[in-house]
Amino acid sequence: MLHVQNLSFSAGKKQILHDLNLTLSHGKFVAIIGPNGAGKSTFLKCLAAVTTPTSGTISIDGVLLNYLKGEDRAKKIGYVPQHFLQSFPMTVQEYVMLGRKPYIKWNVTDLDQQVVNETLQYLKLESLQQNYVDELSGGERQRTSIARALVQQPTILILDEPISALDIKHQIQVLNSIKQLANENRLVIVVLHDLELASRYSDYVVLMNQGKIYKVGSPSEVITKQSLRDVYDVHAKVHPTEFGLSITVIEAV
Amino acid sequence: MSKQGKLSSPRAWIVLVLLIVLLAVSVCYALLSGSANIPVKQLIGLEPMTDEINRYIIKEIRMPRILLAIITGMSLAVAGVVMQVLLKNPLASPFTLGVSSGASFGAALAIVLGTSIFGMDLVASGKWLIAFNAFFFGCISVFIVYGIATIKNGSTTVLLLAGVAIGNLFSAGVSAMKYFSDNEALKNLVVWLMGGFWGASWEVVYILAPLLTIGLLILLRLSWSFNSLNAGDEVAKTLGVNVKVLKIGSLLLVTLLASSSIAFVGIIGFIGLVAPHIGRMLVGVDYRFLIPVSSLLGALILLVSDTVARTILAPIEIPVGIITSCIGAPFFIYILLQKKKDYWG
Repeated sequence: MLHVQNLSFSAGKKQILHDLNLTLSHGKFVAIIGPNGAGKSTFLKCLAAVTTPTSGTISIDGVLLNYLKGEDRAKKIGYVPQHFLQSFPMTVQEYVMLGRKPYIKWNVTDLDQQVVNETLQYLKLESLQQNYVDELSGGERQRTSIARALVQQPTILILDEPISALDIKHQIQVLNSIKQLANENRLVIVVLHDLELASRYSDYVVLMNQGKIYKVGSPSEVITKQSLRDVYDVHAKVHPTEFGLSITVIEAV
Repeated sequence: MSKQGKLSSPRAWIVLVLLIVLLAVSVCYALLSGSANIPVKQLIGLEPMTDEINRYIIKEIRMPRILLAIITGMSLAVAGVVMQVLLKNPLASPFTLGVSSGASFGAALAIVLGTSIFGMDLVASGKWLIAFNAFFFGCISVFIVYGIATIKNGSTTVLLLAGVAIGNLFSAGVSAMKYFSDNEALKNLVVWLMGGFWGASWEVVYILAPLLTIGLLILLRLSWSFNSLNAGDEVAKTLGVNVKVLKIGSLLLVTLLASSSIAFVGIIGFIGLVAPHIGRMLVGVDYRFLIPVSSLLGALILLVSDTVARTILAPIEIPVGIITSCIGAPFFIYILLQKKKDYWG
């Protein structure tokens, strides 16, 4: 259970997040949606402890996040940033092994190796493990990034726009992988821009606007004609389909 | 399970062992070569060393000099390899961050004005004054550069550009010192700036060796944190690394290592840049291996350069800085052109 209470964040004088409250349980795929500048990525970074909130608390299964040592926190929360970074070229194997950092003292144990190998297999990366990461396609690189977070064996997985740079085939592949992870009793929190895909994959949707949570609920409760008008300033038609919602934007307000 | 994917590959171990053997061979060669001809049998103890002068040359001249070359090579290389991952930039080295130029300025101040930063003779001997000033200004330089970059949100581009700017400023200071100095001071200054191991003594080795040993052990202990940093600050944070403390702490440590060596031997270019790159080509980016491999490479390159410097025109010695740059620059251009893999991101 992830519990966020009165969370605020300011950068300088500018307040970016206003008093957020949210409770999410394991085994769920949660999409955070909202227009540009709504504070989605900042909220995610606070959850992942990349940035420290100005006020408020985040707790996991009753334990406050800032009471946890860095390594213990890393065993609970895995984070996949929006952009893939590396300073010096690493192979897929080397990159994914970084995720074992919280467990490794000095030597890579057989267990570390086993977890990495199984994860590579699970995300269909085993044939690429000796390739350099910068030689991979966008989709493969994203899966490598997810694999790195997964070998931390976290109960909460946080992903910032994991499909933004991918074509539609790879978007579906990556989202299917993420969905499967949620089905294995992890809490998966994902920032998505594509509302139709968000409605298709997520169990819960958190709609953010101007640093506040506008609405939380099932996709059909949150993504409505009214909320699209209020938050995104668009007239749109929303229809349920076999695969989530079909959203047709008619015009900007 | 694929064994191929095992991270700590035997290759890294082979490279490590090979480098240690090569270094040992170079040490033996360096002990034997020089203006004075000392028989091998005497050196390895098969024959008694009857000549007192030979004993003195080996024990008091060649040994400390060899050790100082090894320590300096290791310090500069390890400083380079750590600075590169901290700043995520393949160009980072004690030279580009301004340690060298700051140290030059400090040394120039001591040599020309015969004064330290406090305007008083801190240690009676001139050598210590030069060393202290070089060290002090080397540190100042890095902290100004790092401070400027921090103000600009830690941008590495700003950091390197600030390094260039501060480097130039201190270089101007050194030029001014040269201009205003008398003949004797000018010669001393120029010789110091060229870098060399003339000043090697057991005293200096006793100061630098423990510093390097402790520094290396701490840095090795941080290997996995450096590895994580390679995936970006955000990822490193979520892996449990305290990025801020790691960056400032290890930058301080490697600045201390580099500037304390520079302080005693003068400016020696290229080691801090070349050794990490060769190291990365040999063993990849795992800092558990990259740190020892780079430092052994640094020691090897510098020891060989110094041996060449003092034997090629014996009994005349060439400043070692000239040799390292002569070997380093073409070699660096060669690897730039030959590289199969883009090691500079």
